[in-house]
Amino acid sequence: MWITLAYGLLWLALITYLVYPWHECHPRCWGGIGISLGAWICLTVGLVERSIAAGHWPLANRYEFALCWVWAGLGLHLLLEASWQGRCSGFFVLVVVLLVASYAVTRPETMKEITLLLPALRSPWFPLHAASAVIAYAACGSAAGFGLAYLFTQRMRERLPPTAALERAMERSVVLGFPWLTFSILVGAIWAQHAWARLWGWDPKETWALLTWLWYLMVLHLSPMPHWRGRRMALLVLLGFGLVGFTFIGVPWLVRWVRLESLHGF
Amino acid sequence: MTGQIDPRARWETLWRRLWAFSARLDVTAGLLAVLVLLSIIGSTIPQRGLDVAADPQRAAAWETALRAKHGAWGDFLITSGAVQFFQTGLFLLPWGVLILFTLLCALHRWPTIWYSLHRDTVRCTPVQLHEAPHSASIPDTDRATWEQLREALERDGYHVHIEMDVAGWFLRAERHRWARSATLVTHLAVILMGVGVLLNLQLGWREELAIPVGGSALVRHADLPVHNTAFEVIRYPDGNVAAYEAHIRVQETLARIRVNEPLVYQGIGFHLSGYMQIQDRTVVVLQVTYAPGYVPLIVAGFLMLVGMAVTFNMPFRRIQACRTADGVLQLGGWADRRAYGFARAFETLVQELRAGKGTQLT
Repeated sequence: MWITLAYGLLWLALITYLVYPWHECHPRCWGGIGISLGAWICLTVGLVERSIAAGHWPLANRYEFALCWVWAGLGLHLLLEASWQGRCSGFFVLVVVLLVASYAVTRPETMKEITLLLPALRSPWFPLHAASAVIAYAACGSAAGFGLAYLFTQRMRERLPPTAALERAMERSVVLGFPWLTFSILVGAIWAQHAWARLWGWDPKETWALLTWLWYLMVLHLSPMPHWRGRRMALLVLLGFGLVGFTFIGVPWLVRWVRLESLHGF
Repeated sequence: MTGQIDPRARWETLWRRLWAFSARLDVTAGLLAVLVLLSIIGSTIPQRGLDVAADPQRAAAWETALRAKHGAWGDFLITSGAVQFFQTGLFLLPWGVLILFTLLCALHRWPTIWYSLHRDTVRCTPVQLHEAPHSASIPDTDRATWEQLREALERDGYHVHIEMDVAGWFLRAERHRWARSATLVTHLAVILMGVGVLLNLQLGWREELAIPVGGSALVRHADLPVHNTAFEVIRYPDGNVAAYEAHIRVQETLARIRVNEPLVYQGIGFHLSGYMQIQDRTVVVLQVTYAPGYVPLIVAGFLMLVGMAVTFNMPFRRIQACRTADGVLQLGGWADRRAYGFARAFETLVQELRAGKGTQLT
């Protein structure tokens, strides 16, 4: 119930952002932020409830991971809105959050069921690995939101913050997410050594996590170069989010389609 | 003389070019893009693990299963060697170049960073400060303004050094001075990772042991006898499996191992990887590994994290000032690209120093 309510509120927040100014400190634009906060609170309650019922962190399957991703993405969006004086393209960040939320709520009911932890998941490294991935993915989503806003600045100049602010926000989000992505892979490797007796096995999920990491490392190397800034950077960041999305949603599909072997459940 | 080029000079030129080339950001980015592309290709091909490849019996079974699953395509993958794509030269070469370039880049940057870390020159000229990325000039200043500047910088966490003599008053204030060496830490971590991988490939080994309950087996690489004393499947109240548990004895050491709780004996890991029911007997499958590169790899990972955390969150800032005998205070500011609020802070500082006294921001 809480999760459905949160999802409904997210749509309402998006509509509010669409109707009222996005980056001015007008009292009405607080409506979008207020509703987003409401959605985040509902999601928090829903996740805590689920966690208590399951007896473990709500990260044990793809549905729960997606919900946590939405929770972190929304939390990050609210933090950024609160810490920056100007409203900064909340609409686009919310679009990315809603994309993930829509994926979560449209999962089949069997996937939404609370499950007990499998033996391989009963490790202290598991919540660390998954939670850091959640934070990293949220930051990458946020960066993609800013990237999307950047690409729209030409058409909606009066409704969006200056491009320099968007570019800075985009880079800050990548800088926030990248160490968490590194930490997630590192902890995942330690866990794999304990559980499967190997640090790295070129499992499709591992490979895609690595290539996502390499992509963002490339973005960080290109960001100081003037001719790679602006529109090009926005496109690179959006592509990076595409890789994140594929690592999460596409890899299980790839494993089935090419009939690969993978030890990763989700 | 016929314009012959000295071979030594030619080598020096080549080396200098390679040196500069290796430190270029776009070259690194290009190598990373190549690795991304190759990883995408590799991720679509079924991969034969190193442990499977090391055991001819398992390798043959794996190949048969692949042929059954993919037919002629599977045959092609096996004969072309694509089933070990991530161990081919095509994939390993860009990694090797990346690690080599990282090493060269670290060596290339080291003298500059070392010099900047140990440079304590407080004295400067107004012209130098005027040419700084952020600069301001304040006329008619006195001792009180100078003290105000020092206090404001110290309050903001800057380390302030002052020199005063008849030629003028000089100030050098820095924040996160050592943060610039964090890039080197990150680069060294990449090299350490390469070392870890090499150690694992050259000295590491892996064995699979199938031991019936009550039976023994020998770890061939280490000549260690292992005895399996018991095996148990622990279940949740609803009957689902919660954990697998085996009790093993390695020489005189007794241990309980689970999926996530291996035994490490003299650097050798004993991991529970599965079990089989053969007739009435339960056979426990263990993965026995020796990975000397594990510690360097994990240390490298954490070093990389520390380096990144410092680089991203502690951007370097420097403010220098000089007050000439005629009372003009010239300020100059330099900051890392990621010191996002520096321009605003610099401007605020200048405004505070001389509000309404002819401040001229350039």
